[in-house]
Amino acid sequence: MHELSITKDLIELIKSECNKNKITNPKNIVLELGSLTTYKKEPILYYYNILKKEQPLLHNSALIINEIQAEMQCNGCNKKSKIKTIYDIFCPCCDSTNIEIIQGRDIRLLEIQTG
Amino acid sequence: MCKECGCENHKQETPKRTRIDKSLNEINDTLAEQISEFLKKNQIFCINIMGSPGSGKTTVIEQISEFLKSDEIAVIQGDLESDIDKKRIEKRHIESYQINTHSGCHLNAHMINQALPNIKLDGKKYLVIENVGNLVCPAGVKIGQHMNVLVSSVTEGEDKPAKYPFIFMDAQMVILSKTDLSGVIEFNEINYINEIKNINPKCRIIRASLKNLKSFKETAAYIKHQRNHFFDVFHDHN
Repeated sequence: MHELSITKDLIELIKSECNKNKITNPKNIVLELGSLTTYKKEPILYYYNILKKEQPLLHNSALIINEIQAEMQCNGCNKKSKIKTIYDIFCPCCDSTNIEIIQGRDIRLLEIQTG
Repeated sequence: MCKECGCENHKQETPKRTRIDKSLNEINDTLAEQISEFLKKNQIFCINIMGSPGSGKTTVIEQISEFLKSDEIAVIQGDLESDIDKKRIEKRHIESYQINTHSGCHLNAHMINQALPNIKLDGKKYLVIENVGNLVCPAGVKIGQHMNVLVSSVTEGEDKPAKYPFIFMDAQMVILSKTDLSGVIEFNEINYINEIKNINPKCRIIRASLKNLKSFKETAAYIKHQRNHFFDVFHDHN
């Protein structure tokens, strides 16, 4: 159930962006999903395919989800590194736990492809 | 000419990529930022209290209100149904407003924005928002808060930080509640605290129980400290 509301938000955003950009037949909808969000790819796809049936604009569309691995930046040595799991959030270069998460906590509508 | 059937009638849309690059959280987060700024301007420190159903969120609010002035606190309660929590808080002569989300699993900025005009905020220093009881969905959802507090009871088990890391990751303070039961259920507090430190090393952990009211004094003092720190920092920038 958790992904239902975010998928509804996604559909509203696609509709408003299609309207703004005068897109009448969206084909591929590209979404970027950070690894540190609480959302999972499969349920979003599942809900999208159900919800798009209620939207004539989206009948021919397909959702493509690119999963993005989270990244951190160390406040000590400034190095950027990938976060593999939530359980090792410390800088692999200097072991500092004083880090900022700079990528991976967001879910973004990247682009709408037509034709 | 149509690429599919060769006719002259079908109008073909030229393949095109339109860059959007917008966060799905943007609408909520922009509103949350406005709420946060509004409260900040009015010197109100906003605390988002999260935790499982039955972890003791409302009890924590009741108990810390003993150590903060009750006329300086306003509370927003989030529950699927009922106004049981609002009534509990009002018994202590604290301004309170109940949000019923019906099927909603967490509060969002829109709900808080709609609730705010119904609460008397004059002279308030703290707005305490008790989120819907849930260890998954409220994590990372901005509602205008300046501090996240997680209430987690020993009866839920010491594996909760390992199983629900996101909500522990976002908390500035974890209140481990019902610690008077630790011995009875053989809850290993060291394992629990180490699990939290792995995910969120900066987090302040307070052991609390109704058998030890000093723990709520300590909780209130830490919230007070966080408020002072927040507004000092705020003034420095102005």
